[in-house]
Amino acid sequence: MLRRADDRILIGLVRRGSAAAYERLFRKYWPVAWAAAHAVTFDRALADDVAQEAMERVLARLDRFDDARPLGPWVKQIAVNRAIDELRRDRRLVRVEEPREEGPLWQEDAPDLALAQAVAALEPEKRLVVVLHYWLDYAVREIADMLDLPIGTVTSRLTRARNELRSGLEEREEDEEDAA
Amino acid sequence: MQRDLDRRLRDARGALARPGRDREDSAVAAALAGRRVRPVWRVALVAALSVAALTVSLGAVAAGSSPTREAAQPAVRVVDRTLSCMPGRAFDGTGARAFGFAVTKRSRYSSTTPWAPASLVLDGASPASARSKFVIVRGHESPSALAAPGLNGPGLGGVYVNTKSCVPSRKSVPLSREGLPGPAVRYETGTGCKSPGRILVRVRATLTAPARWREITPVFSGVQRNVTEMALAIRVERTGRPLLFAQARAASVALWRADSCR
Repeated sequence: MLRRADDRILIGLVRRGSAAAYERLFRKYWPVAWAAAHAVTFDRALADDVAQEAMERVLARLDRFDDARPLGPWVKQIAVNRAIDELRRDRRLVRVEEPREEGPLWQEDAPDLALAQAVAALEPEKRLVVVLHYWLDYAVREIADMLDLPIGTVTSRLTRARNELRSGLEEREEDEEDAA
Repeated sequence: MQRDLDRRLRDARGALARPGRDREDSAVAAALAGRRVRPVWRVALVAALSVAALTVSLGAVAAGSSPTREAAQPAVRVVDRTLSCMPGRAFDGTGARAFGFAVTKRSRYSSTTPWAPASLVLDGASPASARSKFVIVRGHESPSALAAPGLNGPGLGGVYVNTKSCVPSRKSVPLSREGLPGPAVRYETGTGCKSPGRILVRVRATLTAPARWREITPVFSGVQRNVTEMALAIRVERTGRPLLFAQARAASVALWRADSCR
C-alpha cells in the first residue's frame, strides 16, 4: 500500500516536471522492464534498448495513466509489447556482424537452470508463449490478444512446448539415474 | 507430472540474468538528456508540498548518484576504448536516436607549437551542453572550450569519455571505413546520424606522452595530455551496422559516414 502511495506521489511530481522523481521512477521500474524484455528476447543488448524505450514511453504517457492502478503491470505490458515488436522486426533485419553477447544470460547457480535453458532452446514461437505464460504470468487469452493469434493456437503451442520439455526432462533424469 | 512441470517452469524464471547497473545508469542519463525539465523553482515548490519523507528520500537518491570511481590505472601512450552509449531521442517522431559528430581540422596553439589535429567531438543528446557530449578528443588546449566548459566540456588536450551516458563495452568495433561509402569527406566535417538504438563507439588516440586514465570531472573520465593522432568508429550496437569512421592526424582529417548520416 505504501509502495502504491509512493508511486502516486512520484507520478504527480513527474507530471509537474520533476527530474528527480522521473529518475526515481525510471530506476524503480527499469528492472521490471528489462526482465520482461530479456525474457522475451534472450538478448541483453536488445533488452537494454527495449527497456529504455519502454521506460521512456511509460514516463511520457504518465498524463494518461490512471494512478489508482499499479504501475508495474503497465510497465511490464509495454516492455513485452515492444519486445515482441522487436522480435518481429528483427526477423527482417540482416545482421552485418553478429554481436557478441555481453554479460551472462543466466544465473548459473539457479536450481532449475537446465529447464530454463531448455525453454530458451525451444523454437521461437513455442518459446514465446511459454515465456509469456510461465515467466511473465499472462493468461492464454491475454497472450492470444498480444500475439494476434486464436486462443486454440496459443493453447496448442503451449501443449507442444510442454510435451517437448517433459520428454527432455525425462531423458535427462534417466541419464542421471544411469550415471548414478 | 503436469502440475510438477508447471511449478518447475514457473520456478525456472529465477535462472534468468539480472540487468546490469551500468546500463541502467546510461539509460537514465539518456532519458533525462532527451527530456525537457521544467524550471527548478516550480519543481522545488511541488516537492516541498509533498510528503516530507519522500522529499528526503529523493534528495538521497540525487546525492547517491555519484559517478563510478575507477581504480588507479597505469600510464599509457595510446588510449583505445570501446563504449556503449545511448543517444537521445530524435525529434522526428520515429523513435530513432540521434547524435552529432564533428572532427575539426588541424590547428596549432601558437605560432611556435606544431600543427596538431584540433578536436573530435561526439555529441549524443540535445540540447547541446557539456553533459550531452559522449566523447571529446582534443589535440591540444582549446581557448574557446576553456572559456565555456559548461557548453564544451574539458578544454585541455586529452581524451574524455562521459561516464554518465556511456559504459565500457567488450564488443569488437573495427577502426576502419569498411562498409561505409566513399570518398571521405575532408572539408565539411560535421555530421548528424540516426541509430535505431544504442551505439558502440571506439576511440583511439596517441598521446604526446604517457598519462593515466582518471576521473577528470563528475561527468568525464579520461587522460589529460596533448594528442597527435585520433580515430573514432561508431556502429549500431544491436546489428553491428557501421555508421561513421573518422580519423585525424597532424596534416589531414577524413570522415566516412553511412548514407543515413547527413
